[in-house]
Amino acid sequence: MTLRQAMLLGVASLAFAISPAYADKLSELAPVTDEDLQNVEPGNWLAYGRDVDNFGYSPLTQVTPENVTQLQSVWARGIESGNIQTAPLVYDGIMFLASPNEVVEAIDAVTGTLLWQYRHRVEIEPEQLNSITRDRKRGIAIYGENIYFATWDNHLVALNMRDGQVVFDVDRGQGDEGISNSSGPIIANGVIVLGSSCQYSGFGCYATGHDATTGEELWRNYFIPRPGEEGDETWGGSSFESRWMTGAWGQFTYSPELDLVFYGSTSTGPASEVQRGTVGGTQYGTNTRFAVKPTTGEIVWRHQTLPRDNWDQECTYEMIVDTVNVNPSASMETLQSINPDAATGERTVLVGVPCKTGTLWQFDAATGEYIYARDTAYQNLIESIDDKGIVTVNEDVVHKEGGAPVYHCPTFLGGRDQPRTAYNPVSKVMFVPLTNACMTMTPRPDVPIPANSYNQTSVYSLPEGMENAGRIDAINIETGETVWRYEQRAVNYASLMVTASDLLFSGGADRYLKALDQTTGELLWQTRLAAGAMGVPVSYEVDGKQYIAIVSGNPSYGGTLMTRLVPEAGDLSSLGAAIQVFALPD
Amino acid sequence: MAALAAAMLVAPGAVLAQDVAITEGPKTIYDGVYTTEQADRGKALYGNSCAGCHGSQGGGGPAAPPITGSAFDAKAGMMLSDIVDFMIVAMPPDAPGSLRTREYVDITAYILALHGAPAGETELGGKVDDLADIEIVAAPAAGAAPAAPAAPAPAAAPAAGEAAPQPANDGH
Repeated sequence: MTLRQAMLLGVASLAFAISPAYADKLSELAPVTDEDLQNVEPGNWLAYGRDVDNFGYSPLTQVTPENVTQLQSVWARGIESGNIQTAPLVYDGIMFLASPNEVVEAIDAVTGTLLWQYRHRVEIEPEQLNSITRDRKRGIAIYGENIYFATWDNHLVALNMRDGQVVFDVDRGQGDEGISNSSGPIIANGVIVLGSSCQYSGFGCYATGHDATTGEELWRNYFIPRPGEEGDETWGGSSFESRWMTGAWGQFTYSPELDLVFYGSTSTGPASEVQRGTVGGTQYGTNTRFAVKPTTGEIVWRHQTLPRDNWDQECTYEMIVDTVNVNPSASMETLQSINPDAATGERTVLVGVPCKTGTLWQFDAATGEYIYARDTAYQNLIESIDDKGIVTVNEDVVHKEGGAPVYHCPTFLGGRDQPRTAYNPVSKVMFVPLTNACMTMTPRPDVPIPANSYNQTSVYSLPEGMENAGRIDAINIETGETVWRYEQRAVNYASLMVTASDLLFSGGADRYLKALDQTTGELLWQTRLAAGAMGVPVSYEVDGKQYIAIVSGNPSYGGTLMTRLVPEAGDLSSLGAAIQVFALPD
Repeated sequence: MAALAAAMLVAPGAVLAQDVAITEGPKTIYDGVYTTEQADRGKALYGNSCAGCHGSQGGGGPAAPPITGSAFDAKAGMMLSDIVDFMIVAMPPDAPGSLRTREYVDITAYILALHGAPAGETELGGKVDDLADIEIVAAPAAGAAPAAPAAPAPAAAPAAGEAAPQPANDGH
């Protein structure tokens, strides 16, 4: 069959397999097991954060601080422009890539040749869909013989990894009422687990677990309490119908040792608690970290990392599990508190920066015992965190009757936002992508409706005394101490990846793909791409050659931050969106 | 053959430009300055290029300001051409000017519809200068609805007050 014939036939199936040679290569792919996801071969990248640990850490060492300046483009392949923030998967020389307009592709990871392409058909009117999530597809998953991804219209789809044919397509419902998913599913003990986003809907969202073979929904956990349920009293007497938007759209993490999935919930709207009728209420279920059993959804522990959110701080970002020598330092920078009763020494902890506040939290991963918390980017939302991890917000920045403007830091875009952290399990250092920014927010006088979200207007600015918007912090998670800080004038707002050879890779809204020295934070190399370097940098190896790959596209909120904070530092473009791959010369 | 191809290329423009009268000023945005058909064209464009940040109803989002309601009222005194001029220069932020002027104008018609300004019998013209005499004014007061045809609906924003769940929209 010729390529053209295959493409014509593909119209019916939305997927097409190309040449027989590649068909052989695809057919040789072995089914991916739980064991494979826990011990990923060094040359592969099999999940959003490479493996179940979700560290964003590659063990490859061919590219080093000494030779990184020799990196050069080896192939690129254009994709449609969109807010793509994805992590390509690479399995034994085959790349699986999600891209804008509901496309998933298999590509030869050495040559950039397309092997198959699938386009999910969205048949809901655009104005009924969640208007942002559609193109992001931060994570897709591989397991068994399938590629799993979540769609703009809230379907969970499985494709056969060898030919792109649909194995199942499960509609989770209410895609036409704005429910969607932007960060994709993970695999946890044979169960597909994923969250949902309904940030602008007049109701709340959920996390679900699904059978990996059939897609059948096994459990569903909502976040907003109904009348009479636990925590109902923390919603200020507001009616259930006025409790909007809380979901979980950040990346989930699974710990095989504990058989626990970790995820976090988002905030609620409108921004002003006066407008939403929850004055003083802590809003149980919002901005909360959960540990759940993947097969049943049973909640093993939970901890609210920001009550009474008036600022869209969404505690939904990835946290990771590692066994470390817990030894929090009383002298760590911007310390909030240390639990004096928490044992030090070797412990398996859940650690990360879950909210836009930029606050780094550490818990016992099995029990949820609070260990310590510290800030990163400047924030004035949290007044204090007590030694049990209970947060008191700063009353001065809570919206009051009358709707006076409030100056708060960070902005609705963080501190940190969706760009992922990276973690080196050898050095125990976590790298956190940050933005220095504040905003003056004024509630709109307009009658709040869900589709108008936070019902506010805002003016952004750099925090007083700061000139740089872009920032990456390196933090030793055992001690909580800052190792180094990298700053740049331009907004970075991009995901990070570390390698075993002491390199830290970062994309950038400034269109630079960068390599920093992991030990010192020194910028070693950068190259400018056609479009914003907004995807997750990944690294893989085929036939002894190490590759660095990243998707470029629309700068998205990175562009918003750039134009609002440092317009002269940005040169934004989404034209020329592509998957771009680099390697050392032969 | 070449001529046929050229004709085909021109055809869509000819369809768009069919016999629809153009609004001529001076007028305000409440004088029925756009048509429902024009707003419908703008709706699709808005969905692709604007809603991601400004929300499906123009209410704004985490990363972009509201552009309807009180936010649009705050532009009172400006001319509609100022809005389109700004859009051409600055929107969408990652690809300013990437739409045709006529498309920006159609989006403007849709924004007016979202804002609650009534449609009429004439379209906004397809050139920036066509909009230079159309003034943005605050919504007419509820009771004192001027000459408008017995309009019980316009400014009062009636049922929406009580959390009538609306089709949702952007977010992460």
